[in-house]
Amino acid sequence: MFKDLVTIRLRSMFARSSGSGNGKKHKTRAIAFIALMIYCAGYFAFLFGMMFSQLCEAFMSAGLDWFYFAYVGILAFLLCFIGSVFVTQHQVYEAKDNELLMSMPVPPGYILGSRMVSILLLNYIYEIIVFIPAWFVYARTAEASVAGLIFFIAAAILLPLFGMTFSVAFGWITAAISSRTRRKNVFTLVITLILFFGYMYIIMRIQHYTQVLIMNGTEISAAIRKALPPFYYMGNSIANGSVVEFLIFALCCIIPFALVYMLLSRSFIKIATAKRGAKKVKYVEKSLKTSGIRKALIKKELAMFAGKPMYIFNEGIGLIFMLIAGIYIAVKHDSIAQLIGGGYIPALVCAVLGASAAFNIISAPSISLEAKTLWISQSSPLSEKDILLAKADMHILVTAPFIIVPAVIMGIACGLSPVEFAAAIMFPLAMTAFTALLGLDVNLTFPKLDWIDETAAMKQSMSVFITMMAAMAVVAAVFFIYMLILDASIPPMTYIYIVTALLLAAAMLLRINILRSGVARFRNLAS
Amino acid sequence: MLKIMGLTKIYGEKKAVDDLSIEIKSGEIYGFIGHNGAGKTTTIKSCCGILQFDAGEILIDGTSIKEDPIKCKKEIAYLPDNPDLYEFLSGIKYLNFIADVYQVPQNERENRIKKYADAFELTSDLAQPISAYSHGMKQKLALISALIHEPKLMIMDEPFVGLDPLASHLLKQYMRELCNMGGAIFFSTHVLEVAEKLCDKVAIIKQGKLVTSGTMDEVKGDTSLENVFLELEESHV
Repeated sequence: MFKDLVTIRLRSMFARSSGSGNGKKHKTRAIAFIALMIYCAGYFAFLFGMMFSQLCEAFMSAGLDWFYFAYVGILAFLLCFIGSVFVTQHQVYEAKDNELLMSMPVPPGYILGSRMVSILLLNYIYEIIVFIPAWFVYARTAEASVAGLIFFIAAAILLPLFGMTFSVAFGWITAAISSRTRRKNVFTLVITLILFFGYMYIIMRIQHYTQVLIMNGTEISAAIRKALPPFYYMGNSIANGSVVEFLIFALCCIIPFALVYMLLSRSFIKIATAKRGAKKVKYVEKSLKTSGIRKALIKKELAMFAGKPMYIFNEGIGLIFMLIAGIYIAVKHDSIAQLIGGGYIPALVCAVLGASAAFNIISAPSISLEAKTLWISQSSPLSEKDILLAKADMHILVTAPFIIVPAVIMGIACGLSPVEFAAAIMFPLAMTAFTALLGLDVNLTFPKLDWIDETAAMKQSMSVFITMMAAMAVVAAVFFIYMLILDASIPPMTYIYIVTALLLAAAMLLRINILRSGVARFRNLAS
Repeated sequence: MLKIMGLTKIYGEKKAVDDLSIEIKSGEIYGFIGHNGAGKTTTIKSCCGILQFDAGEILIDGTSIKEDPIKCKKEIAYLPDNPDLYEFLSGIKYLNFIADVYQVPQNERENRIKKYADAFELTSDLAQPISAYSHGMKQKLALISALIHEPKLMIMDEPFVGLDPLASHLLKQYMRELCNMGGAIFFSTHVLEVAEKLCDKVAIIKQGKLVTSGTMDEVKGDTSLENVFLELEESHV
């Protein structure tokens, strides 16, 4: 029975990413999706590898081999934790099929266990992205022993259990708090952002920490042993091939996991069926505001975006990047000017806002998210053109203030000329229009309407992956064409205006394509 | 009001609806009966412009749903069997959105929301997010949203499922009122007693094909609708 539950879980996980169905088309999509996943994983593994290659040598020469592995373990643990904590919340505590399964003669422990296995698998994927480059860098820098490799692999198998323990426990706490909170979405978003930026902060401060660590190796070693014993024992067992220390690490991973599992499986029914609920808000009659059709559709799209923290975090993270980058550049423009040359500051402002705009892929899951509610727009007297363009318009309208406000702040702080200021607004806006229409077009081609849990549409669907990769590829191409092919031979502002024009032209072509073939594709979607 | 002529819808190699023809006139409540998978929902969704069909024609008040879907949809209200609504909106925001879509003037929308929400005892819950609603509450909200623009034709898929007795009674009353004002109702149901009492006409569909149709008296004769349905099911096995 447990095997069946796990199989169903894994099947749904895979199907919800690549789309369900049989036949050649489905197979091609599945292969394309896997290829894309491998590419993304490879890209992030490469970034981690670059970071590790800087650290490894420094740690080795300071005789802190164990800390290199402890550090790798901490990074992998955090990535697993942050990556799976809200998935855990949705899949374990708020899954829509909980009640159905609990009405069947299935032990609650089996239901919980099957969900945990699928999350564990997700954690292994996150962990591999960190662990594989870590070992390659280590093997190239130091003399890696077979025993070290064996312990490293064994640690890789055990560590996600440790991460799971925390994400399941934390997921339970957040589910309990958010269900009692009226502003559940704000609470979830704030927690997600704190975790994400905390992680980013640690990674960005890594060089500083490394220096501190090398200078105060002994003290920090003792501190880590005291504060984070599992990572201390993990690092030491791999670096020194110590069986005893590995066993302690293994126990640190297995015992808390087993305890949490036992505790939750006993109270799973109570947790999953608890109707906590926030206080009921009584309706007070008031005058209703009327809107035109297009405005009503945009307002609906906006409510959907604002009402889902996972949507904001996954598809609108560029909005926060824009604000942070804007304030950072405005404050630090003098020191940045010394580093890159004052003449490049206007181009940097445009590039930062443009690249951040490409991180916003709000329209990419907008059709998939309609899923079972698609009947509302399809049976209403709405033109497909209005329905579709409202999704792209909302994307642009949400992003625009996050472009204009930082551009004004940076424009004043950095003293941009009117031409430079106009470029700082037009370039990211053109990028936004392009990304909005691209996401919409891709989602019309790869809709994901059969999801059980909406995170599948927001985090793991083909349209989100393709749009994200395509937008990042455009940003990379804009940069490399200027630096490598044009060899910075034309003024940066001229180049930015040319790229802006090209992006607008591409956006126009996408709009035409949506209005021609996209309308028919939307009409044929079955809710 | 609704004229279905030779409707055919094919999924892969299977004909879900096969050359179906029905006509529903103003003032009629028309029941649509058939076993699970007979093609009722496919027919209903085709009539509402949700599904594209392979052959035939559907006219709403004389206008083809294929040629002018927006004009047709303005006259229709559709109620699905499972009311999946925008859970990120509150009840009142959802109703206001639907009123915006149908361009219902402010005064009228406020009056109608009050009238129907009070009748269905949903007024105090309108500020709640739809995600907090029970199945029955969602069904009631979907019903109010269907009535908000005073449609000429209501097309409903299993409308009584999930409704409490009071709401069911109200719905039947509103159905009759709409027909008395010159509108028409086309709905599917498995509750044959309801169909027998409520419908002016009835059609029975099996494996996508129309088995019988006509006034209730013509179809059931001296026996009950349940007996007719069971006999037809057996005779077509």
